[in-house]
Amino acid sequence: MSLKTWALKKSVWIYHANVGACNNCDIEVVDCLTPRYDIERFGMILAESPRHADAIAVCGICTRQARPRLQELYLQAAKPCLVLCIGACACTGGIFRPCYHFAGPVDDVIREVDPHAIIAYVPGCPPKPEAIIAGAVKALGVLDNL
Amino acid sequence: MTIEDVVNELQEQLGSFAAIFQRNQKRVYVDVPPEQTLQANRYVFETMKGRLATATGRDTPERIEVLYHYCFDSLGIVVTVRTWALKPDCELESVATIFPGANFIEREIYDLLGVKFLNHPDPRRLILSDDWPEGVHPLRNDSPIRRARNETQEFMRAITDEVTTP
Amino acid sequence: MKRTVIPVGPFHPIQEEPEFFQLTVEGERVVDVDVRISYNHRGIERLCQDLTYDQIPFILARICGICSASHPIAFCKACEDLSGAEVPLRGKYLRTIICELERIHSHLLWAGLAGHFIGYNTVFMWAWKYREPVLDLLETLVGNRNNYENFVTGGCRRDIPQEMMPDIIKVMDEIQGPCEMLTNAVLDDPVLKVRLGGVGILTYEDAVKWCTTGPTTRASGVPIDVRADEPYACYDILDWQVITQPQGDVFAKVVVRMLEVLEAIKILRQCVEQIEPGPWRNEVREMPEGEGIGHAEAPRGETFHYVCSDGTNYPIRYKVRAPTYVNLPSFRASVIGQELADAMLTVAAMDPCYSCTERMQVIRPRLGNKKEVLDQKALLEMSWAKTERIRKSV
Repeated sequence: MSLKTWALKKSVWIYHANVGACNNCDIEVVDCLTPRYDIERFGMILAESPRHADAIAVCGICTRQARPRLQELYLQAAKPCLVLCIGACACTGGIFRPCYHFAGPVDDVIREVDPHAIIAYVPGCPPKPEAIIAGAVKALGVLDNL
Repeated sequence: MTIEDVVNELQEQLGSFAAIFQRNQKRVYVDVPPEQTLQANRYVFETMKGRLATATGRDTPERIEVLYHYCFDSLGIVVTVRTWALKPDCELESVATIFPGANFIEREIYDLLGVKFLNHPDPRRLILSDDWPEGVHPLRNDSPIRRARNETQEFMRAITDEVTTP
Repeated sequence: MKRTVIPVGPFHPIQEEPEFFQLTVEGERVVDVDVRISYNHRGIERLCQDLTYDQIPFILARICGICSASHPIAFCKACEDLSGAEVPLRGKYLRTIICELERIHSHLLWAGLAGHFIGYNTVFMWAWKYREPVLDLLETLVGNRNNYENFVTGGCRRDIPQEMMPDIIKVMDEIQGPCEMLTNAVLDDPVLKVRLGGVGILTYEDAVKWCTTGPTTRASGVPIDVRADEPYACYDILDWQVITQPQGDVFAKVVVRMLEVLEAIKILRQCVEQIEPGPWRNEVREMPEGEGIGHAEAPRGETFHYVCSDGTNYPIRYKVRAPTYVNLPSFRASVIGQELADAMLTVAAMDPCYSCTERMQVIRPRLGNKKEVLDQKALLEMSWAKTERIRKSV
């Protein structure tokens, strides 16, 4: 494992993007920062800009309006960058899949611009903060192989 | 003041062109032809001090009905002013000229049902995406956005892309 | 003076909903503001036309994660208006319990974010810490921290066993002290009064003209609250008050929300005391033809639902109007004239399912057309710097 990967794993900065969610998953992501779950003790904080992000936590079905913007966001993030699809809506579209404003589950949207993107799925509606942390930790394990 | 007083007042002021119907202890429906929609809405909002909660659009075979729901909070009743826009033109006078609270509400009805509000201060698209094709109104019964329970996402995208490409 | 247009783009770290604001500024004052909302539009009304009346509450709970109880309750009220069904008394108490618990957790959530915006990060951490017992309680009562699928036409889907009622009292005892402490801290803090007082004023006349609802309008002195005006659940038999403040600024909105939390705790204690065993659901099997209207008081304001039925299992038209939809346009009245550092705070105070500010790009045409880019951190720091200046001067 190179120094860069070791340093990245020790302190992951997460950028949170809502691409058409009901806010449940978003609250649970922000909840991870709060004293009970406190991911800041692991070095994880919410990044303020996609250019500083090591991981992008995406919540929501990707609506037609948000689709090009999500792709732009992913391209702006420095690689390697993990994509965490949080919640049933981001993983597959969930109950909103048949909607007319639905523009693809998040993994299709990201893979359109980067076929080798690292994507982790955290299902749930909403997934509990414990599940989100477990998903993030599992995804970080992939970085060992880079 | 009670609901009967409200009904009587509506009957007096608007009864010459409107049909007033009290559905139960808390709901009153007023059917108004499109030519008098501004007059009726102005009366309910300004004189009777109703609060516009929202406006609903309904697609029926000959016309698109637009229902303006006014809440009378101190009485706990809702007065609905129903007007309509005849197809195929689907034009209606905009209530946003009377008070600004109706601005976003009418823009949404334009997006989803295609009713053109005349003299609206800001007749832009509101909730559909920038690349949504013009003229496709999702809540119209004859729109190509039809949905079956087992349709796959590719099929849905094909329908919308089909109407996007000229 | 030269005018600059500032796009406040859709994605933001701490803000939960993507919306695109365009602020036109002259120097430091905002002179015009416009919003583009489409990023979150999912087409739920169209979806509801293909679902049965039993399936719709599950979708509605996911319109908004924080108004998860209010949308299904408004739906149930609309269907009960249409079908004439009555809810048994225990069902009403159960509905009240869930609604008030949701109100507490939503207002605490907002209080935390508002604190973060003005630089009081401790308030953020504490408010969200005291939300946790409420969320745990909800998980024990209905099975999910944030989506309470417990409402159907005619009552509640499942009962909350009588043995769990003391747990509610335990949690209320646990959070009452900290909530009172937070409320008193807000009311007594001179820095907050100066920082938030007079900012983003929405006058009584504007609140009426723009047809706003909820704490946004109650903080302007308009005493409307669906729970009092058209009582549902048990609000007509419990002892509680509608909280209003006359000033209309951000401080008034904070005060209204904090006092509503304390009021909610009071209501919950009464519910637990008064609830009796009994049926919690009247089964409704048929929906007649006609129209129904239902509205409920969500933490953000009035949710308004309209259903039109033709006698079949599927509604032919289902309309949902969330409270932020009518509160958001009122920013034209309250944000214009504010300083840049206050603009985002004013929008946040309206609680549009969180705040709606994000990465700002300020393009100031200087020598050689150099772009000065302020990212979100700089924007937050602008707000924090103003708080610091005020703290030093008070």
